[in-house]
Amino acid sequence: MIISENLFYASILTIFTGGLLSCLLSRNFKVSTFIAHIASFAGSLFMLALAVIVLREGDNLAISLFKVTPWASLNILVDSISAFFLLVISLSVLSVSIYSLGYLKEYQSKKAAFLGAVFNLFVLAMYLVVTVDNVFGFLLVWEIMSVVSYFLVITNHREERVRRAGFIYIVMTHLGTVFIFVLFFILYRHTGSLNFSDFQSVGPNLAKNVQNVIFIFSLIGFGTKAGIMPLHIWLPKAHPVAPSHVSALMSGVMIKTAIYGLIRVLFDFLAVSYTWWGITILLIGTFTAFVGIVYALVERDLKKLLAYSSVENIGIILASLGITIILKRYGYGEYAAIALTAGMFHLLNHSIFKNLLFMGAGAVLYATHTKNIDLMGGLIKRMPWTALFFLIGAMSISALPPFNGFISEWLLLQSLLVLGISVPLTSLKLVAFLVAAVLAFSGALVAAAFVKAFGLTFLAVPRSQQAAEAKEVPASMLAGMGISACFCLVLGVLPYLGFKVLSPVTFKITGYSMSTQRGLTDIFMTGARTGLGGITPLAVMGFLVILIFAALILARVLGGKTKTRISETWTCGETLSPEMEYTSTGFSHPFEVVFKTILMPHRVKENSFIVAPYFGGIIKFKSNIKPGFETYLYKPLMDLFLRSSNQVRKIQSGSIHTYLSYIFVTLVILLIFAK
Amino acid sequence: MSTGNMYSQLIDVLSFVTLAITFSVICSRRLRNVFILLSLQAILLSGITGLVAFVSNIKHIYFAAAITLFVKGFLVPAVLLYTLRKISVINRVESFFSTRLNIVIAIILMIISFYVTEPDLLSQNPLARNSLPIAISLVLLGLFIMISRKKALMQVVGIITMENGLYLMTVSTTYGMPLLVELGMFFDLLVGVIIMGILAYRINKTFDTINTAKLNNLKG
Amino acid sequence: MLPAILLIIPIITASLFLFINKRLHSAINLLGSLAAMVTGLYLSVSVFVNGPVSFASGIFYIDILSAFIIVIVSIISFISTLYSLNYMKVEVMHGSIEAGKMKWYYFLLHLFTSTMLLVTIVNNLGVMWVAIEATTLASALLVGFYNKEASLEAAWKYVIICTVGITFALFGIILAYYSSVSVLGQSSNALNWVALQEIAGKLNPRLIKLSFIFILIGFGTKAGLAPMHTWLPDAHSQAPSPVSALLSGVLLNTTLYAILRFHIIANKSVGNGFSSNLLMIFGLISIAIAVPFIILQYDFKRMLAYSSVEHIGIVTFAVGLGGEMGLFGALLHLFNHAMAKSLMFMVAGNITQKYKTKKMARIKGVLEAIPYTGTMLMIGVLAITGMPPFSIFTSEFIIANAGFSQGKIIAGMLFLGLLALIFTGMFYHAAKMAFGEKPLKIQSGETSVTNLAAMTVPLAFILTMGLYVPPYFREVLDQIVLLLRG
Repeated sequence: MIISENLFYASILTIFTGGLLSCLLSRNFKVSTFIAHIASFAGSLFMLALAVIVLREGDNLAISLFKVTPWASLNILVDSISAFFLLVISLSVLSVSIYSLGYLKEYQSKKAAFLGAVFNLFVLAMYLVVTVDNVFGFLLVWEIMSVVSYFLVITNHREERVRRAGFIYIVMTHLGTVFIFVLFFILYRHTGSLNFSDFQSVGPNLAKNVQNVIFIFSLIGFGTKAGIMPLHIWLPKAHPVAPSHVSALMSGVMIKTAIYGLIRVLFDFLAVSYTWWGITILLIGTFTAFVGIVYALVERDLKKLLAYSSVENIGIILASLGITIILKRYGYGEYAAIALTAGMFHLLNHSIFKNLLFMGAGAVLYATHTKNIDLMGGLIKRMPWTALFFLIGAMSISALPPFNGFISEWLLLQSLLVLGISVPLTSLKLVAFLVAAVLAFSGALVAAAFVKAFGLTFLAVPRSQQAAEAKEVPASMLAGMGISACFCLVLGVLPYLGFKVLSPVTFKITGYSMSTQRGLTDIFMTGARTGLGGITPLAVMGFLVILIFAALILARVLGGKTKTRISETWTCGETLSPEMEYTSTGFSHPFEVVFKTILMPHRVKENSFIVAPYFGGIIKFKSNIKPGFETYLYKPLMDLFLRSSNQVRKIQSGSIHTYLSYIFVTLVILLIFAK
Repeated sequence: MSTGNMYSQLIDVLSFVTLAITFSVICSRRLRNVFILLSLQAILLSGITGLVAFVSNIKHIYFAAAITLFVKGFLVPAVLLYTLRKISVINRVESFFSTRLNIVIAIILMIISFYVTEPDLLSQNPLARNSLPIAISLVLLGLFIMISRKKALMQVVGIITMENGLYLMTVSTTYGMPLLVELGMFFDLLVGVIIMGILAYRINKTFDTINTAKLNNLKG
Repeated sequence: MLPAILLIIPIITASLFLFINKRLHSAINLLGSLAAMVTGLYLSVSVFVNGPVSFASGIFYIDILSAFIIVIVSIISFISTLYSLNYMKVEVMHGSIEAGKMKWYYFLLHLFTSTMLLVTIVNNLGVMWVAIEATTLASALLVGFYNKEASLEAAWKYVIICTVGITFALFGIILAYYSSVSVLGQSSNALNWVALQEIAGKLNPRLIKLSFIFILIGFGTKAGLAPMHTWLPDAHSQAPSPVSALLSGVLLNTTLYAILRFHIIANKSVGNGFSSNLLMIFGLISIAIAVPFIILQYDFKRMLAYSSVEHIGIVTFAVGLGGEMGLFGALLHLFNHAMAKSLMFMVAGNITQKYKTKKMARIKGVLEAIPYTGTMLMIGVLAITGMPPFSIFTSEFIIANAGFSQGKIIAGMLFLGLLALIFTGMFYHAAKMAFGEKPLKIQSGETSVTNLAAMTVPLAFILTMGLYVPPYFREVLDQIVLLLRG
């Protein structure tokens, strides 16, 4: 208890002092960014230690930080759920901090120092969000997190596009926060307390309507931050324009704090009392995952692609939460534990590989100064390490063994099948299998998207001057990516570690956990107790290795001896040029056609002929995707709002006579009302 | 018939006369006449005040009567006439409505004020039988003058009318306010009229008109 | 004696300007306002410690509530006069104001301060009315000080609409006086609100009801409650920026103070939450009406003025909610808003002097052009829209909490939703001004040190009060809440 308390204080103080010093030393930006990020690194080590201690010992850490007024105080409570999220955040910050040391050279002197300070504040806010134990404190740090991340997003505020993205981000997240405010106040109204611990005891006994309202509000409020469809519109705008190390943290970690909030409210406070919540979350999650990846697939901006992929992953995590709720409601606690483990493990995995991918994209950006995939290509020769790490990230996210993404997606599909088999209701069974199909299909689309992201970025010949002149990034950036890549591999091969960390969390929520203490063989072989939730990553890996060898041998046996001859790529006799390569636009075209109801692509082809129609001149080609949600949902709403506002503005007509008559009318109305 | 009753009837009659004066303010078309009517109304008010002082035998009300006569009867109209001369505008009251409509609205407002005030509300004071509705009428009519007239000076007239209504009410229902308050009120009124005069003068200089309907550039 | 001194210092300072040499202006201005602030703070602290002070046979009465308002008035008046020093010098330099008129500016400014102080220290509702009307008169010429078309138009609307409003308030006071006289008899303290508060239970509820309506409309006009607020955006945007700070930060509060006083009486006399409900309704309407005007605003200072309408609405709403939490939140918010809004008007002053326009569309890259002011603009706008960790977040949190705890779920949700919309609008405009590239013709360079010094005072309160409300401050608020709940 004392140790963990000290760790907590040490971490907070280190990060805060680092930020402060960075501000004070802003003249010397090298020193100041170094201090800021070393501080966040050290602070995160402390937090990691704290998280591990709490998860191992099961001892909650409670601290009362300060009190502003009788109704506004800030208390800390680190229980297993908080500890797990602390772990997720600190693992990410560890690698991103190292990475930032090099990456910040992109920014000119003063700005870098400022950026370092705000970065630390952002990290601090995230740590506090998942540990605070009362309403005032939570809303305080939640809003601080939003504001601070806004400032990080608009680092390049000289560009109009960046300012716009930042504005949409902060407005969406603020509007979402209103719902969070309301749901907490409703809880307060019914419990008479602002402490989370009192919500836990009273929450499950609340009236049905109240619980349902809280559910809906938390889904909207936290869903906006998490980026569920159709509240996601800020995410693909804000994450790409932020500096890459910030995008990494925002996409990898910050949106997970919303999942934390959702778990806190639905599982911890309300103890999930209704099945329809589960179904709703499951369907929304599936929808988000599918549509998210479809948008990612046709995206030409590398970072935007990653942002959409985050939307997809949030969908997967939500789907697993939905499955957990349904299974728990039907009394299958043990199965619910599998589903929850799948979701939470995926959350951990996603934070790691999304960090890795964003850092990789940042490295590419650092080297080529472009985010447009169509202008890249051939980088694997110039940036081999970056390419390797990016490939690991891409394989993880595409759920390929032996990396971590495979484990969690596998478990998720298993839990869906479990759901389909165990639930008595036929309609629910149907939903389960359909969702399983959709998610599996989405998985395939993810693979396609990352084949494109990796292939077009790193393979073939450079398609632009910038790409041709790219150089490998500094060692600190590679180290940051390397750490994350290692995590991907370790968790993919030894998922037991993840299950072990998760067991107190799933136990707290569902009453069961997947981890067992059955010794070494179990660690390498199953890692799960029930037959249904079992997974044997090493066996799978071994099987794959055998399969590859078998294929090679088979090919050798059947095809006989082959001869290797190195020569130029055959191009029908023309000289090889970058224009012949497959572009991102070309790659996406089939998908645009398949998903044209969702994407509503708009293509314009202008041919100008020298001698029509045989001798072609210049062909201009334009293609863009119609942002469906913005065009058909947000814009009409916005227009309506602005138009009606403009109508209301007419009351301030400028005429003093009208103004006086307002007073007159108000008076008369009140006199009549009072009589 | 007791003397108290007689006095109260006299006060009633005088109160109605003040109301009638405001009516003629609404009907009149020349600014000069309006100011003179205002002065007349103030003198009448001063008379009522004196009467109340006599009936109630409270000394400081005489004092109030004297100030009313001095400030509202002479000083305020003088300031207004001085401003009028300084800015030498066309001596016409401009209204948004026709005279007929003005009168109809005024009558409706009077009916409303008699309607909303319950007769027993101020029953404790015999002097105040009709003064509450008359006061409210004056207040509403004053506001109506401000709303319907374009000239800046007419808005000042509206304010003074409202204030007169209030004054009538204080005198007849509560024998005036405490002296300190009353002094403050007169002081405020005087300074207020002077400041409005200054502003009207400057507006006329800058805009070349004191038609407040033209003062509508600040919107939204 | 102290209350009288407090009142007299600004009057003496003001009249000095009519006689002294121009070179002494700055010194006298600074000394006078400093003396007034020190006296005001000293007086307030002594009231906080020793309890209410009565003076001049009960005409003046300062209890803990008035002392609280005095603290706000004296701090912001000092800041505003300090800020005036350089601001007005630059205005003269730009030729917006003739140098010879400066003495009148300072004369009116200090006179204005003294009238506001008078409002807070009198006991008699009638004298309070006189003082409030005096604030209008003293500030009307300040509003029209630039003597341009727009400022004259604003001044005219200000003085006419507020005088009409205040006449209604007088009507209400007369009704109250009448009902009080019928209980107390003809006595000089029949209008003293201490006395009224004591006998509130015996007053004729129907009369008090009527009187509260008139007072709410009347003083509400002056306080800027919608829909009587129409003069406010004109006046607050056309006045010189230091005066805008005073108008928005202090003047509105002093009038609200008068409504608050009468609300106590009405609440006791009428009961049934009559006055509370009215306050809540007017509060919400005021918040709501600010939304479209802030979102579709073109003028920086007008936007701030509408934000004042909003914040006065918030305080009124909170007072209407009542209860320990509501009143505590209202008082805290009163203080926080005064600080944040005066900061914002000074920021606006700096920006308009730099860019020579109030049109937000023409202002860009403030952070590049004037970095300190730009930073304060960002902090100020986050503070005023209720973002943590700044002071207003805490008070708005408490107020919303109070609403929900009383079961006013719909009102509470409306409150939060409207605030979020206002955030959207203000932040949109502020971000557009603060960020981006500055126009080429604007040279970088911060404003003067005195301006920044004046701005740091409210800034300090904004930064600290969100996370730390000093215990004695909290205790003072608790005591006022006790007083208000009777």
